[in-house]
Amino acid sequence: MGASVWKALSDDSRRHMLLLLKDKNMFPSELAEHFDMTLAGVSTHLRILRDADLVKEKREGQRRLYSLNTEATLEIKNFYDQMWSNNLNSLKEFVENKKRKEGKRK
Amino acid sequence: MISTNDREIRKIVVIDAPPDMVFKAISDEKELTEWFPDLAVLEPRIGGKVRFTFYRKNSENQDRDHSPEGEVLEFIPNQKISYTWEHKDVAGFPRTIVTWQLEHIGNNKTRIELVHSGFIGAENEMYDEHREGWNYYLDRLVVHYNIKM
Repeated sequence: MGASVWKALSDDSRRHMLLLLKDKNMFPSELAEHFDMTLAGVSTHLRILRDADLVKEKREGQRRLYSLNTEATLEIKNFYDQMWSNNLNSLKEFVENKKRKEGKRK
Repeated sequence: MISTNDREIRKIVVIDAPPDMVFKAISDEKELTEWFPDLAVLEPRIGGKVRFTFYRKNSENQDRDHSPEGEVLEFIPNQKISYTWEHKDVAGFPRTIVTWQLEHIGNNKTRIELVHSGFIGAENEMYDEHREGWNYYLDRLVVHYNIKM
């Protein structure tokens, strides 16, 4: 979902991973060489990035190859799309409730 | 509700209330906080300041407060309001524009058309061709967060 993009981008390691993937598609083991963390740690970050649609995952045999999702800016837009949907519902509810209350007073 | 192309969000909603009530809800600083941000600044005139603050605690998807801000571009009571919407804390965030258009459709109902435009898309002429969308964001984020490569 779009909203998770902010969370995904909030971490230094994840932003660094995106930059590395911008230059080259990589397997988790290759990415791990750039970080002081376990392969499991790298995989956790990649899952968060994937869930935010910032990276794409492709199976190659037993391994998974990661690439940058170049349509990721759409995620920023999706975030707002979702936000407006939710808030327009809240607006409708707020105004209609208020109108009902005022109607009762009359 | 519908959304259209890559660069623009467009939504339509019908509210069972007259336009003046709806307009107040989307333009009054106090009423805005009833359904939208936690804190609202909206100076009701062209060129007026807009700043909405969303506290982190209210959304599990946010790990810090968000404060989009901008200025009022159009202010026509009970009909239309538009303002710019930028994130100063996300360097390189495009200057997007939020426009609310209200239409009285009778029977005390109001049709709202909300357009949020200006998102970077492949055709956005505001940016150099080679700096399309994502690369642009990414480079700005690097600068913003001082990532050491």
